[in-house]
Amino acid sequence: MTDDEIREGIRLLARTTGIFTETAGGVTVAVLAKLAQRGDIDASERVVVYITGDGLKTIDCARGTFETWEIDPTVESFEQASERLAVPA
Amino acid sequence: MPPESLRCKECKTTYPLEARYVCEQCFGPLEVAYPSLDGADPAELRRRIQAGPPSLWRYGDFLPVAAPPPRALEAGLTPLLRADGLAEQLGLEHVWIKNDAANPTHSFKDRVVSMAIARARELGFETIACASTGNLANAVAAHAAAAGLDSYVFIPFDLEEQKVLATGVYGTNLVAVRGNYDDVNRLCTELSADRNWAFVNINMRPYYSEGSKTLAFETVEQLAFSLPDRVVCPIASGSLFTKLARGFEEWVEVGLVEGRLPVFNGAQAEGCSPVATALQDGQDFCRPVRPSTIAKSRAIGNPADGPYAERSTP
Repeated sequence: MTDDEIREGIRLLARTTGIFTETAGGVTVAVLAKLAQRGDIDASERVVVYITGDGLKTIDCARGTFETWEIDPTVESFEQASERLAVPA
Repeated sequence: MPPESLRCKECKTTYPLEARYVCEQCFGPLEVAYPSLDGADPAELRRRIQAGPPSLWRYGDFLPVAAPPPRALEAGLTPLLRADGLAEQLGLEHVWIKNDAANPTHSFKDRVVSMAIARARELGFETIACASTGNLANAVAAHAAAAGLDSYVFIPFDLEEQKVLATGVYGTNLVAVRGNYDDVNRLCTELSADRNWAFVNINMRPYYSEGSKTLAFETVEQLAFSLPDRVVCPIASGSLFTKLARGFEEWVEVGLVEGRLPVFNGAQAEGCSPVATALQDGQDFCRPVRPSTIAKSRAIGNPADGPYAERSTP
């Protein structure tokens, strides 16, 4: 697994399960995703994925995977930002 | 079942249950050998497990030390969570996450360190030590502190700061070595020859690695005593991978669970994949590599149990 695939694995797990894992877990989820995409796993299989460490251990890997809105403390500023970022409700 | 000896994985020579890890005859790795469980009553074993403590010590019948020593930082029995969102995204129906980040120091290393320190205390050691890529450092420092033992933790100097901070806080002797993990490990192997210390992943390794079997036991128990079809787990030294497989096998052999053993998929980072490379090339040994990956806890270029991880791979 490449470094990008590992980061994507961390992100996929966090966004679909609410679990933030360290890089080792990113590697593991990336392998699961690759096997599933290649069709190596039957849809009906019972699969257990071992997440062996917490994301706070390698927190730098989360850097650059999301955007933060920085605004002034006014409603106008918030509305401007949300229009610009066009996040659907 | 109390273990009966240490036994060489290669030539089967047996040794007393001491702080030793390598066969004097053939230099093969030693592992803990148990008496045969033939004739054991699975219903009784199951009852003993279910009446046990809410930690990995409920599986004492299958471990080198049967009960936690006083002042143990109890680990294990982490959640097995259904991951329907992840499954849906990948076109699968049944995916579970075994979240071992829920251990006391937030990684599966609490399992192996529990076993190593429990045995070290039985053998009378007063100082615990380890070579670590970070997670093991956290666990050794924490479990030694709980037990009231001195500890020395050797880490590569470029380790992530979070792991360094989360180790030092427990009051260990923290030694940053200018080198990579394989250098740190080599130094510790030299030190273990002339210090009367329990190095959890060197001279305690046979006991240490047994702790990983509890991940398989918990999985089976949490799936209502059934087996998964497939497991996906990370590989660094290969120890987790082989012992996870061993855990499932032991419970099938003793009749605690029935069915086919799961298919195993191991995960290595591309910048450090000696086991995957050996498999791809059809070799039964691992060619050491110089690691380059963001997954520092996978960055073991010369994996101790690499050849055995290969053999566990169907």
